[in-house]
Amino acid sequence: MSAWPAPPLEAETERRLLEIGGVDLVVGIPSFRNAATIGHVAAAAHAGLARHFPGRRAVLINADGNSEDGTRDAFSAAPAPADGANVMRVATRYAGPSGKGSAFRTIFHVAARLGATGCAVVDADLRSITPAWFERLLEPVVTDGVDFVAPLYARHKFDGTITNSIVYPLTRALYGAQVRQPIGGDFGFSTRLARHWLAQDVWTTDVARFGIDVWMTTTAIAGGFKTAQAFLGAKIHDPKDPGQHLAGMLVQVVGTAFRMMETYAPLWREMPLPRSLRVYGHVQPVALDPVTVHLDGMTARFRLGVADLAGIHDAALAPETARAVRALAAGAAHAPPVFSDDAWCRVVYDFAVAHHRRRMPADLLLSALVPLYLGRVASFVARHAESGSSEVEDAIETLCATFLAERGYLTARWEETS
Amino acid sequence: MNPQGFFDPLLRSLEVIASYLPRLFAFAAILGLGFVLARLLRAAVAPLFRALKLDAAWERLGLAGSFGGLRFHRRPSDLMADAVWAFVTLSLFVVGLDALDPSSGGRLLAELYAYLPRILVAAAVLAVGWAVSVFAAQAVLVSAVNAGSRLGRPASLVVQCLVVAIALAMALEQLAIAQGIVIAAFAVAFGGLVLAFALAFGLGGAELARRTLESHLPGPDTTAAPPSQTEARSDWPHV
Repeated sequence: MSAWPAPPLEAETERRLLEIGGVDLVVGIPSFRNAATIGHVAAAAHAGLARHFPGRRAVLINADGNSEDGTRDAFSAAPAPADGANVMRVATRYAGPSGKGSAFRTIFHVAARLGATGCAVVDADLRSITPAWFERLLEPVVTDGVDFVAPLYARHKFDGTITNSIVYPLTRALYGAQVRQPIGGDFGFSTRLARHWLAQDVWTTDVARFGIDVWMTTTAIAGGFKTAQAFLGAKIHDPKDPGQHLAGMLVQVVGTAFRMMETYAPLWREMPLPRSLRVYGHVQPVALDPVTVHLDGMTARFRLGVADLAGIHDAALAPETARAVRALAAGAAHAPPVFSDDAWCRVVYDFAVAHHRRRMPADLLLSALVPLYLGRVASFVARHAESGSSEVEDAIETLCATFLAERGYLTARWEETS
Repeated sequence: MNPQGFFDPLLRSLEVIASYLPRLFAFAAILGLGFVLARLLRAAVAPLFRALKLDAAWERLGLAGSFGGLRFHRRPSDLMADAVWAFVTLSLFVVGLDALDPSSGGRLLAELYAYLPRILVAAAVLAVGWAVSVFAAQAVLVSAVNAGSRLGRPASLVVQCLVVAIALAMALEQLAIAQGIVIAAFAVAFGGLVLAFALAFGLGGAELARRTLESHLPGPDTTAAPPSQTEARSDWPHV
């Protein structure tokens, strides 16, 4: 009997797991309607396990959300290398709320049940994945006893703006660890950490959806687990329409990050010192796809948001922050706002405090953050339109320094409500 | 002129007044007693509710200081104590009215107590309706803004008015005040609004309606060729 509430598995999956018995490694691929891409990912995973861990038994598991496009069939039919007999494939349907978190829960459970030493999870829509990724994600766990391996990607300077504007500066300032891609989506971890995750009572919350990545990273670094990063190269995957998905993504990711602040308040209020993490793999420049950003649209939505949501912003922000935001929106009609690091940091911290106060529903509060986030992104993009990647990276590190410096402000406001 | 004819009606009037005096004194005494009793109970009940952690529970629910956009400057325990004071005062006032008219046999108090649950339910319906209207209006406004629409403010106002109208109709129906008129007026207004919206969307926005339905219903072939890795994305991923 497991020490955690086990997610239900399909009967065929139960039979397969009993047949397999025990393994050394598990690689999980969560999916939903990824028939076009999962074959490539599965083939890379199988080749990676066969090539880099030849003497170890491994399971490659697809936890699918009942896709009707043949995703599981595509996974099972993906080519296997000739020397890949040590790797067994299992395709299953996950139970629980629809979302990546529920798929991960199934994968964690399978890994713990099979007694694996090391585990990895990768997205099903990756186009840039190679077999080497699995060596980078699993070797630190198997050889060096690392509990959590976060990814490190080569990304376009305007890629990953929720990460660069909010989640990375926030987690770095609060918990100290310099995890550059806290919501990267491709992780390596020990079964010890998987059991810790399984024992948490979060699987019916936003963690089960878009919040799973930030939750995994935060619990690993705040829970004192040994953490490292692995350079994986470029991350190219199916783009999501930000107009359709942005508000939902931001609410769930940032909402989960704010909820983690409640859980770990005693830790971050002690203001832990920043610490860098070991990076596995050689970091090198990679050719990246160009990215087009529509500044006018973002600027317009920022101004509309500041005008129409003034009531909600006034309830969420400190008076000085609200005044600063209104001043930004009062600029020239089509010019992007000049959103300074200080102002943006205070916006994020004020929203975290408002979330903690629970004066309005969390989804409503975080949805009201979206226009301000778009204003910040527009400002950042306009400022760095001609900048190189390293200059932009320096600017992000400067933002992190601002978040670190303003921790006293956050603590003071948080304690006003406690 | 007969002096007796002048004084007799005057004496009879004085007798009638004199016969009411005891009842008036009883009414005043009951009112005075009620006032004192109500104040004593208010003073006793407020600390009791605080000891039961009512104020803390209200804060934990995130309602401290405001409920549905309404600002409350008094603690819930004090508001409950005020409610007890009002209830006791009103009850004893009605008892006093009964004292003025003994033939009523306590009917007034019984009718008041029978009507009280309706008042409480109507008040609860209005309070919940107001909170829901504020939440619904804010949700519509935020969704519209995040969709880039400038119709957020008028749409949220319409939604709030609709919800308040529903709550008001339910409260009046609960209080049994002009029930027939309220139900008929509400049905006509609401039905007319829905019909107008359907006509506007179906006739005036026929093209939009067709596109909306097509985007939500599965097409004949949903398999798309995967985009090339070198193809520039039309927009950027946020995570």
